[in-house]
Amino acid sequence: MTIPPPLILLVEDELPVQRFIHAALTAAGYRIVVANTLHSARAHSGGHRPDLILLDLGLPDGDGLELLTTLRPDNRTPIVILSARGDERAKVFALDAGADDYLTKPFSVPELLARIRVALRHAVAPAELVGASAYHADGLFVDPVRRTVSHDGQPVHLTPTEYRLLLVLIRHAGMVVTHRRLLQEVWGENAIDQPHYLRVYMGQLRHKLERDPTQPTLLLTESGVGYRLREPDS
Amino acid sequence: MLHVGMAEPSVPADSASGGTWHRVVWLLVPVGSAAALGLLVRPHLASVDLAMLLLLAVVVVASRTTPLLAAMAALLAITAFDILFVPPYYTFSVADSAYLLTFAVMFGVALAVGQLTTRLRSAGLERQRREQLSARLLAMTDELGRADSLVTLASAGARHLADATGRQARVLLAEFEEDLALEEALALLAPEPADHGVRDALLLVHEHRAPQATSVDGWSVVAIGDLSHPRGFALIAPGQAIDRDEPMGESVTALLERYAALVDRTRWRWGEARARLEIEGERLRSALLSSVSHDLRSPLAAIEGAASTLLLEPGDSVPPAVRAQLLETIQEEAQRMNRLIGNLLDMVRVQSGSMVVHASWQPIDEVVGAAIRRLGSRLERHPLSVKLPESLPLVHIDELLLEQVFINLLDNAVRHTPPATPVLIRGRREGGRVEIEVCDRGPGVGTTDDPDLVFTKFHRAVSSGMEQADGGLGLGLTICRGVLMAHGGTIHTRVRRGGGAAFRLSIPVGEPPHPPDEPVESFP
Repeated sequence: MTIPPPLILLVEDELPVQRFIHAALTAAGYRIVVANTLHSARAHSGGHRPDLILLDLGLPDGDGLELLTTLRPDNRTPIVILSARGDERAKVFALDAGADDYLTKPFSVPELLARIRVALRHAVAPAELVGASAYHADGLFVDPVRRTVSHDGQPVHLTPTEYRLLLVLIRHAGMVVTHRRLLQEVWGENAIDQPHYLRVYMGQLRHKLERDPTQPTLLLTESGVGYRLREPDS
Repeated sequence: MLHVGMAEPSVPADSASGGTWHRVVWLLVPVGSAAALGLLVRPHLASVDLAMLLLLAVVVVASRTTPLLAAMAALLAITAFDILFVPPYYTFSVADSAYLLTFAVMFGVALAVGQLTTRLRSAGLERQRREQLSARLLAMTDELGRADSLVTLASAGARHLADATGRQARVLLAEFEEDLALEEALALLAPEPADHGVRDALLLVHEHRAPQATSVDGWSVVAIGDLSHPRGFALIAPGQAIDRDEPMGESVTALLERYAALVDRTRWRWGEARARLEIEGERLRSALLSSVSHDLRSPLAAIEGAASTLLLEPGDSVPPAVRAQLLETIQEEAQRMNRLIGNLLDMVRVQSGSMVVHASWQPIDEVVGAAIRRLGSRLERHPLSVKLPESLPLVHIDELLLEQVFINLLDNAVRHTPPATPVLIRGRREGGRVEIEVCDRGPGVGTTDDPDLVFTKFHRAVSSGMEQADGGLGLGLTICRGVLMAHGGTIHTRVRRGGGAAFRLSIPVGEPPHPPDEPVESFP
């Protein structure tokens, strides 16, 4: 018996957007069901049990965040939010409230597919497991078991905090991690109002791990939101 | 809205050297000491010399006090002379009647000296007062010239008027275009029954349509603005008795008139500034509308055209290469429109001053990197080099706004320079600022004398013909300046040696927080 392709629930009210996403995802081999109101979205997510939810934050009958908060924490379906540019605070809020990733409108289809792919992968493999397996991408190699880090073959020495920060990013490789989440997981609850800690350490990591720290390919900055470690090479 | 200012002088009016005790002291001490001294040396000196001593005392008193006191001192001196130094001692009788002449001369001298010194002194005081008045006038003109509200004009004005004259001052100013009724003025300026002096003065000005007046009990008033529609009043209280006979009366009026003129001038200035702002706003709106119309319609036209071509000619009449090209056009033009709309929205925010800066401490190279990434393939055709030293301090910035600035600058570089020309981003710390330059090897920013003109809204580069169609609304650089200003920084442009433009951003460093200490703990 073949495993059916993943089912994606798209919560979006604008017809043209529905159309192109439907076309793109179907062409990529996914199944898709569309809900154009929050109300129907709730029904669908219960009934169909989608593998991933694409949620537009700007719905007519309410804030997409409502759906988010009703689903989490019991429901661990990966959720990728779609939001307009300039609405960074809403995105951060949604991410901290349990969304897994985001896309800024207008977005391209390759971006969309990449986000979906990463989110599905993380849903299948729990974070702890992902964090325990080796990570390699674009010359960077990290072995969490042996606790070694090397770049382009050369070993790299990281301080304990730098290493911990890198591990958090690896656990979410390919997905965005908000500033808040990073501060919490590396420095603890009290550090949330010291965002410069994070900035300084990310800068240090960039200088140690990137070929050109001013044009990073691994440690990507998502302005106003957080950071994203590049997807591992498969 | 009416603004009232009332002030008492901070420095009380020149008080006469009054006080009874004061007078008694001046009367007794000099003459007394001279007499005492004389007694001591009486055996050794002739009476004529002793007379000189007393005369000296009288002159001292005359030079320092009023003629009246001088006369009294003279009398006292004469008495002392008679009793103590004219034989027979300790009696009032005079042995030699020649002494009567001495008494008369002494008295005359005292009066004369007294008169002289009084005149001198009052002339000196007068001069001093005039100088003080000039200085205060200057201070008033200076401070009120910089005033930016009617409240300041009224309260500061009252204060200056009071200090300059040493009397109470009251001011009433009405808002622009507001009609000031006499009843309102009376109610506000003369609220107490005791203020009848003020009432009289105001009524006088109103009745006689005079620009200024002095009421019976001495309140001086001047009307501000047009007589038929006064915009305010300024009053100065009557002075102390000592001021009654001074030429100050004219000065008070002159002062009031000066104040009134200042207020008028200030009003005109504000009115002009407001009108200019409105005109500028209008101009901007119409420029914006025509820009939007043109610059957004161009990419729309391209999208419409490409899409309809693809729809109209299905199948094989359009070769696949051309199809691909048309589809690419649709995508690129849509992205271009997205950028334009983004700039437009930013522009509106900069314009309305509602740009909120959410700043936090971060390294500038992160923002630069993010901007480069956002530009993506558009930078493909230009070799890009980034030289930002690791030692640059953290800066307090809003990363979204600064990212937009770098995107705009890089976008400009891409659009206005020939392909394959290099783009350079470099930075350094310069004292209390971090300076970042975005440089290209394009045609530069035109031949205008003022290269910073390019930051004014809607200015477009005199294009070298390259990418002319790519309007961009000319807003990008204005937004950059707005953002930099909101951060307390600046942006300037210059022509590079060897050709090309350089845009230099300058951001204040401030006091970055300390980097976190590495916690002492084992490897996780």
